[in-house]
Amino acid sequence: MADAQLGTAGPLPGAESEDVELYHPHSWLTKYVFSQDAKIIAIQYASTALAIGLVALVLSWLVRLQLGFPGAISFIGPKEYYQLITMHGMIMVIYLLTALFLGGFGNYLIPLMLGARDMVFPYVNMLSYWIYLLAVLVLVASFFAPGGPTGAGWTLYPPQAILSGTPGQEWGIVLMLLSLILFIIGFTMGGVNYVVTVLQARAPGMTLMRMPLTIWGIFTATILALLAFPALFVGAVMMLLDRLLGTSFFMPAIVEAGQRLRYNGGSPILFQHLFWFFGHPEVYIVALPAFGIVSDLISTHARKNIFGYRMMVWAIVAIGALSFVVWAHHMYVSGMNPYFGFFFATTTLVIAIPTAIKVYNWVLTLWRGDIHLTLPMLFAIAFIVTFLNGGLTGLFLGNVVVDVPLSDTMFVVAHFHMVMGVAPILVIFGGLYHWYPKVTGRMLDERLGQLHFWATFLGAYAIFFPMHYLGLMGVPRRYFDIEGLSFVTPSVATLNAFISVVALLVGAAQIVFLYNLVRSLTHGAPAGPNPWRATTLEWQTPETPPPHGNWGATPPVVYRWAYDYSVPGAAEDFIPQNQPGRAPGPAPA
Amino acid sequence: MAPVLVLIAVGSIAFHLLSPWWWTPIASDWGYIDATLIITFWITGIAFTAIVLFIAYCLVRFRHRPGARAAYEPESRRLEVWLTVVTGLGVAALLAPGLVVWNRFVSVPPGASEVEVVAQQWRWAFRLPGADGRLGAANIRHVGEENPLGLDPEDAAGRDDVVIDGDLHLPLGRPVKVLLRSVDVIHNFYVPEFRAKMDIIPGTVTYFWLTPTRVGTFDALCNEVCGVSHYAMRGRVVVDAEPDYASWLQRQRTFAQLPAGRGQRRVAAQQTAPSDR
Amino acid sequence: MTLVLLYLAVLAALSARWLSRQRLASKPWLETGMTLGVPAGPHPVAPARLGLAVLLAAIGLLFALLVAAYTMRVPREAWQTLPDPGILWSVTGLLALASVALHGAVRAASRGERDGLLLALAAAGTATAGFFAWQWLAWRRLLDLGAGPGSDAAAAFFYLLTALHGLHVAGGVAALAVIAVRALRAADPRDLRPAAFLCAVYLDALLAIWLVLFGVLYRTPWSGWILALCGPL
Repeated sequence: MADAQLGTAGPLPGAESEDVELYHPHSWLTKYVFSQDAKIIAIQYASTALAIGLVALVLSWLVRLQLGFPGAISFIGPKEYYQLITMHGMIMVIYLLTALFLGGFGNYLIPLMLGARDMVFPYVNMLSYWIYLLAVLVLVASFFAPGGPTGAGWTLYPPQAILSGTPGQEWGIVLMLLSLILFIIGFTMGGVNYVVTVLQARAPGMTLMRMPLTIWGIFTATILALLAFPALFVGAVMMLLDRLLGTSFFMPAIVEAGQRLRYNGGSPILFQHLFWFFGHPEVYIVALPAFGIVSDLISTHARKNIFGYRMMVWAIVAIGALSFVVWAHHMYVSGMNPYFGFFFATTTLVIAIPTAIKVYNWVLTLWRGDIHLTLPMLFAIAFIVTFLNGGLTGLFLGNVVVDVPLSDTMFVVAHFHMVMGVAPILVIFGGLYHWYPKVTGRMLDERLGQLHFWATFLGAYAIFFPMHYLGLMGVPRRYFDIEGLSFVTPSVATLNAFISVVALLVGAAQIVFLYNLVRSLTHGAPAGPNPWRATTLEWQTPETPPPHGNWGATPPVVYRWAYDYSVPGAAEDFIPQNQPGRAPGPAPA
Repeated sequence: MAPVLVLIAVGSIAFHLLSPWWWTPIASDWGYIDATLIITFWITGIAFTAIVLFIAYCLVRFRHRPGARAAYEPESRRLEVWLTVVTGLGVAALLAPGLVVWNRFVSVPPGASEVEVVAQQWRWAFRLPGADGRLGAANIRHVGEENPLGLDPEDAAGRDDVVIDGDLHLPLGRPVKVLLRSVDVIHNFYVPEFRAKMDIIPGTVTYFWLTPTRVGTFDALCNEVCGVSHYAMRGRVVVDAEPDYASWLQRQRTFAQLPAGRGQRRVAAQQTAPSDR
Repeated sequence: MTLVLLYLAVLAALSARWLSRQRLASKPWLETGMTLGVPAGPHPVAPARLGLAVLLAAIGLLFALLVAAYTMRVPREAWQTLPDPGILWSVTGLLALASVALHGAVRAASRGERDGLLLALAAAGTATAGFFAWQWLAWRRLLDLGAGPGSDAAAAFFYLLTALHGLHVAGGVAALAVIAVRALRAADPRDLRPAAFLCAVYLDALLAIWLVLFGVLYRTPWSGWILALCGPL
């Protein structure tokens, strides 16, 4: 995978080096394009992810147009429809969410929040971004390839993914698999970096238990990703060989259109095991950074320490560990050994307990707080509501027998959009509103932000909450057209049209957000170094936006945990982590 | 924000109670699944409403006022333990009935008669075991234009198998084990009124079981994406009371009567019209 | 799958041991000041070493998953029945030789002997080149014996496993080349000791992975051990 790692391990500026000279880029090109500054790389990651995310947004519009107004758009036939849903899903899960949380927020926040000057392997970090960009370009290329992108569904289940009955069989699936392989190589480079930086480049005094939960979330998610992506890598390589060399890893004997194919003896279930061995941790790869970020947003904007910090850390670690033994809950009706159902239902419902604890602690942080309803706070609260909703419907789907009627219906679509679509994206927005002032030195526009927030939150809820009930009725997912199903009542068409209209509006609100992002670069109100009066280190940099090397001549020293808000007896309602002196709080036992 | 949260909590409950979108009337004995679902709705609904309303209360009560300061409260051991225990009990209350019903779901009753569903892109075919009550061997090697199900012409047990190219009929009130086979890609056999479903994996035979409890005609659909015409892969299952079922079965043809099954073994071809055991 | 779960369990145990030393039960809000914390001095483990360890953990899991896939996909009676190209023992030997030579390079670097370092690196390079040549020959022989990638699952796994393993070895060779170029220019060969050491460890790990793959694909004295660990779940 990331073999280039070794070739470059030698000449790196060690994180412990105090030689600030190392951090002076030499030309415009090395400063802004081939930059080794984690903050620039973060912006590159985030911009690329948002750009490809915009493509996914447009795809989802087209999907909704077909579902809400069947046949209204003449160029969407079944072939195009399956291509749309596949690319929408894959882009959102991998190229937007994973890349934005780890490559974007991870790169920006890990060094700054830990008081480091940069990642420990800046060169590898830069390489990671460029390989990610290449993966995105390969993915985009599949739109223009003969036959178009693959329409196999984002789960890419063989045998259909590589057979001629599925769109994009010639080029689309090959480019998709190549793009995934590249993404994994690029991510592994970044991931090694994040882990080692967290372990070794922390400022003096920054013990693990003084780290902000954002870092705990990103750190744990990175470890999950390093251990989960190999499974997808294996699956992708094997499927590529099945497609190109005629091996039969996943392909049993098949008669297609009257023709016996040359495949024999392969196991489609094997792919599903590999895919979900990656796929379930992937949910937490997205969720854990969101958990971490939302904890910090709530704590900062409620001016109160996060309730039960220790429990929050333990819950993150427990969720991370458990996430590797729940994968087959995606396969209850896959025809695997039915007795696995007992085991995986139990592990899946057990994971609900640490997750619930996190929800309680967010809510209890609000209790007796001093709540400022700023935009980041609004998004954080909206996250709790949507995540709670999606998490609870997860209890339906995780409980093996309840999953039977609901699996592969619109209920599942509604569930995972709520829990790993809407909820993490609300956190991304909250995070962007929160850290944009640090990144650019300017605030995002408040009025446009309010418009964006209410349209997104209420719209998303109005889209996905009613959708559960379609699934309950039995409306299947991945159906180009549900015309003629006797159990579907006529009113379903009305609901589908309503959902589609709301989806178009919510999509339009994202354009407002992008406009806000660009406009505020030059027109935003100047933010100052610490507009939210936050305690964590990134707000204590000598300059805003922080230059390469972050800390000027002297890197910070940490004297306290990340949540000294409203400490009794303190003059201000926050004490930055790098401020020396005893906390006037309760005396240690 | 707070009024909106109250609206969301109340509105969600109202939608749940008043909206016309709900499950289709059940037609099998898997009312157990519906019951588990209802338990889940109750527990999760209470949790959702309680937490959302609590947030709304906090937002009103603890909204920033000039001069106000938040309380300092790093943790509360007792509260956290208490909440963990309550959550654990809630989860157990969901899991226990779920596992009991799953145990039923995976244990096919001994008296169940077998029905085979054969899927291919993008159509359904069905097979009944015939007079001997046994399904004959099948292999993808034998699949051909005249033998779309790939039945083994050499297997005597297969000669009386009833091959159905049309709607599948099931007798009311008798348990059936539905065996699922695919000749190309992964499909899934799903009749919403039956609640039960299972993926169909090429290369292996999967199964589920049910007892039809209501006479009627139901849509069967493919519920695992299987290519470009996945959405059009539909079939029909008819549940008949006993006399109707018998007369339908009379009219069906056995494998031996089909071109592919005619051949070596004339004896079996003279079999009388099949009747279900 | 047993192998994968075992592998994850070992990783979990290591992380648990490490986590248990991080005072996760402490109450950070009561501990203000610099009284505790990360030592200010040099880190006990160089970042590059830790980075390599993390990378190898991921690579190890990659191959563990491949072996698990082998045991799930290839019928038990077809295990280790591939035609033997007859030269895999030489392949193994060459990889071991490269590893020994690299450790020689580490020793030479720590003694500051430029010539010894270059010689050892050249030896390691030659051994890996031989590894690739022999591996390629093994592919050719297997193809001649009629076991192409499309013929059966065991053969397909042979090509998949050896190719992915070979690619990882190639990464090591690239690192080796970088070290050799720097050895020519470096003022003090001692500076190259850490890099040479990392390269040696990386190749050791790939040798270990190769031994497992070899033992899965063919009958070797240690196959019994591996197969006992690889049973289906």
